[in-house]
Amino acid sequence: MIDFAVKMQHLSLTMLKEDAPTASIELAKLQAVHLIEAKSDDNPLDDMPAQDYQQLYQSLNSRYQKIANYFEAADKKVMPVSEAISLEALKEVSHKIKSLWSIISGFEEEIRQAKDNINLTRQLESSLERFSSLDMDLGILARESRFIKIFIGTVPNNEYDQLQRALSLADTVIDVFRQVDIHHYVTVITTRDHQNDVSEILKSAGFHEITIPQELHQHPDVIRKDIEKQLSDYQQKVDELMKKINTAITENRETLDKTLEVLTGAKPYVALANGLFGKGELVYLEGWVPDDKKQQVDQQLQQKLVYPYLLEYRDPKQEELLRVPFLRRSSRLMKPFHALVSQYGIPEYSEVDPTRLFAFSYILMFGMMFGDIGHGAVIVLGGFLLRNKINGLFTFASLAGLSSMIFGLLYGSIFGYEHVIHPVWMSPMQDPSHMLVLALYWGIGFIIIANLLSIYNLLAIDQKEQAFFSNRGISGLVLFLGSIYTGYQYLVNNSFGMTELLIIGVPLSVILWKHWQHMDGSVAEKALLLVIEGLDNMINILSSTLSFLRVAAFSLNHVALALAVFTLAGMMDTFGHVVTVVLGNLFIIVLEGGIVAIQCLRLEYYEGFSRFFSGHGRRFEPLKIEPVL
Amino acid sequence: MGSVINSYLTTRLEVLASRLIGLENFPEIIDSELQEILERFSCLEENDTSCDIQKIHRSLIGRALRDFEILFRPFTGVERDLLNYAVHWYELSNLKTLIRGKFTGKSDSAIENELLNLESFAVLPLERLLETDDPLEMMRLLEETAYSSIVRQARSIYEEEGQNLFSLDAAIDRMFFNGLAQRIRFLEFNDQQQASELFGAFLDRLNLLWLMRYRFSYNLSPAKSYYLLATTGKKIHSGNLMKLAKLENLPELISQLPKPLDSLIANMTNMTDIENTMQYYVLSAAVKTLKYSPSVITRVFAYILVRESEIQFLHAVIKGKFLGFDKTLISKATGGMHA
Repeated sequence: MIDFAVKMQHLSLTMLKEDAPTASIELAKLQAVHLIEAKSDDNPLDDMPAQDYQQLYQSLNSRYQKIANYFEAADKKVMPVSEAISLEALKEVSHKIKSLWSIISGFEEEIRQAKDNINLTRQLESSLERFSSLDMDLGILARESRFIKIFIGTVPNNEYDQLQRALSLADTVIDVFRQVDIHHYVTVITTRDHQNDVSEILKSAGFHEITIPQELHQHPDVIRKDIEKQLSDYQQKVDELMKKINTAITENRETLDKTLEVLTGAKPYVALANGLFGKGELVYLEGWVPDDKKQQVDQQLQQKLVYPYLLEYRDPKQEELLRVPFLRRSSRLMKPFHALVSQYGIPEYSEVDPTRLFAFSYILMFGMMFGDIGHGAVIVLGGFLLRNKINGLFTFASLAGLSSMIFGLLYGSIFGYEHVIHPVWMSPMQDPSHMLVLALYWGIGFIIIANLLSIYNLLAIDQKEQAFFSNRGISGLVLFLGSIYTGYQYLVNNSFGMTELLIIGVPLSVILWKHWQHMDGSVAEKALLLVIEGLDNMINILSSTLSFLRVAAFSLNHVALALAVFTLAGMMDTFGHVVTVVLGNLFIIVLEGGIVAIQCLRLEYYEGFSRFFSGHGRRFEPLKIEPVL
Repeated sequence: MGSVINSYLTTRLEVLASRLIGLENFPEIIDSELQEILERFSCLEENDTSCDIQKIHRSLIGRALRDFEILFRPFTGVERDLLNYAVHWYELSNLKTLIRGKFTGKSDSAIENELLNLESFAVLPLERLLETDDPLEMMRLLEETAYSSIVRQARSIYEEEGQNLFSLDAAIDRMFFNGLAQRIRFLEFNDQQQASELFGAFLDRLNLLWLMRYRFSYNLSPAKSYYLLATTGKKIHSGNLMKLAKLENLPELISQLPKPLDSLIANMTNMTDIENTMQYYVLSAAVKTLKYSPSVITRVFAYILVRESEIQFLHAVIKGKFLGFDKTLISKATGGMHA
């Protein structure tokens, strides 16, 4: 019912620098090594020889991605990897792509300028009427004057006020003749003495000068035609530049394909870069390998590495256990449950993998809370229909649905009808108290198992003190069992004596005593915290146990909801009856089914996982060949 | 803001404020040994033994940002916006580093080494901006960000060789301070009054120092000097600034300052002394606000100012000690932060 992580071996590989790219490709093909990126203390090789390679790769990749924005989706290929990429090969491609990007970037800048001009011309076009209504001879604006300099253009709105005040200090007049979203169209008139000063200030303010159309004195239609032509020219320029970009890409298609191949091939070595240390020609890497893959790694390296190398394996040391990655191998059946467990966290390497236990208890609780042959069948069918939309849904829905059907058979419930088939066991409504008691027993069993797992996990990571004296350890388990016994004695036999006091008091005292030892602060503060801690422990035991009553409550709720649907349907004519029953059942499946699924998850996470599962483990992420795009 | 959140923030502020060095303790820090300072203020990240001054600066800012993040959490709406915006000061520092680096052809790794890690406060796509091949490409990318409004100025400066980058820095700063002033105006009346008071004092110091620098060190014209200043302050309003910008020498400028600034720096002829005095004046105001202001948002704002000064102080002291400067020199260089 419980699994453990796949056994890992620590790998250390010392080789010549020239062989490192080949090693990276071969290890990536095997997908068997989880690299260690931090340098170990006893490793004297402290240079990072692959960092230049990594930087070059990153700049090449960045440029390639920028160029790739111009590709059609169909042109983006995933390249097969055959051999390692040398630094020289990377440099060669990098040089070509840099040149290509420089050309395309130049075109992009020209496009940007043309688009800016299109925007300005469009705004100018819409301000023509204002220009023509200016009460002055516009020819003056275009003419050079001996004493006066006139600037016409735009300034960002947010600069205007400050600019106006500043220009007043330079005997300069600024006037707004049009306002658009982000710009003011302004006329700035200054003396020749202040021309340079004003010009500099205007530049700092992001002033954009506008050339007054020579034809302004002409008929508005003529001017508009001219502006239309300008716009069309700019647009044509943008189109031409886009064509040039496409041509450049087409002409360099081979280089681009080669680049993708190089990037894909270089990626494993780049991934290795942060974990590859060296000195001179010698490099060294460390990682974790599943025990059953050792031989494959050995064979592959023996075949492919040109120069001698040293490959060593050892078991993880005690102090390394928290850093060893966690790998599980299990059936397809368990995949959707892995995803749900991973939502909570990854187990530590030494911890138990709770997936099977989770799957079993989850499915069991789901069935108990949502027992109905018809509803279960619909869930299975729903999972089947949506099997291609969500990965693993069919497996999950089939198991949950089947459990629901089995409990439906036990409860004698089909689409909410309680009297169509005879219950193999009994309907929940027949004896609700019995259901609640059973749920309580289930909860007690669940918590005991969670506590036992917690003790195992604490011992596995060498936290003996916690394993014996904490509320997650043996003391916690004894306290829980003692509390259950005391509760039982009090409720059933109405007795509470010395035995009960001792079986609660002793483990609780042990837990609190250990707490006291680790506390900081004054005696009064520590005492207060201890009282709170003690109360919290007791309340937790009570609330966690009672929390499982929801298992019974939902099974009752399921019947009650069906009853409500049938009562409503009973008030309708035949057609209305059928429609109400169908819609009511759908409502129960979707809403109650969803709530039950969440409640089961809640019980697993908060009453189960939080007791024994740290979730702080590291996922086994092997070096592998991945597509660049 | 509810009274529970108010109480929480007041307590949280008390805790954070109690960890500040305190202006009166600054001289003691200058007297301490480098290692002692590094350890006392956890200047190095875990496992870092490099003692790189840039890294230490980044680490100090990183820790401050983490505290700011916790402090800002209960705020919503205009208050949260104001506080997040205030912290963008660091992002602007990154922006300036990036533009300066790209314009002057620095290597990406050299620029990257100077950038601050702003974690959740970051808005700029720094990695993509760094990956750009030239300033024009960087500006195209910058145009797609929240800082697009400064691209036009940046482009004009890049295209007009010979224009000093400081005018771009000034434009960026002015944009920031105008934005901050605007956000303070959105606060509720009482908060707005309190925050404007502190921010005004801060701007007075900034505008006065910049004005003196532009007019008498860079010899810029009155118009250009005035244009590069930030928005109006607490004592020195826009009209005053215009008048001051026209003055031709430092003593005349000091004599024309509104009270109490005129007596504060009367007879001073050295820019460093003026800078230190003004900085101490603002810092004292911020510390007082942090302790006594009835407006929680203003107290948080004051905390940001004081914490930033503390970072500057520690950075200056550590740098001074790294370079082997004596205590007197370090004390003079950080004079604005202690009495």
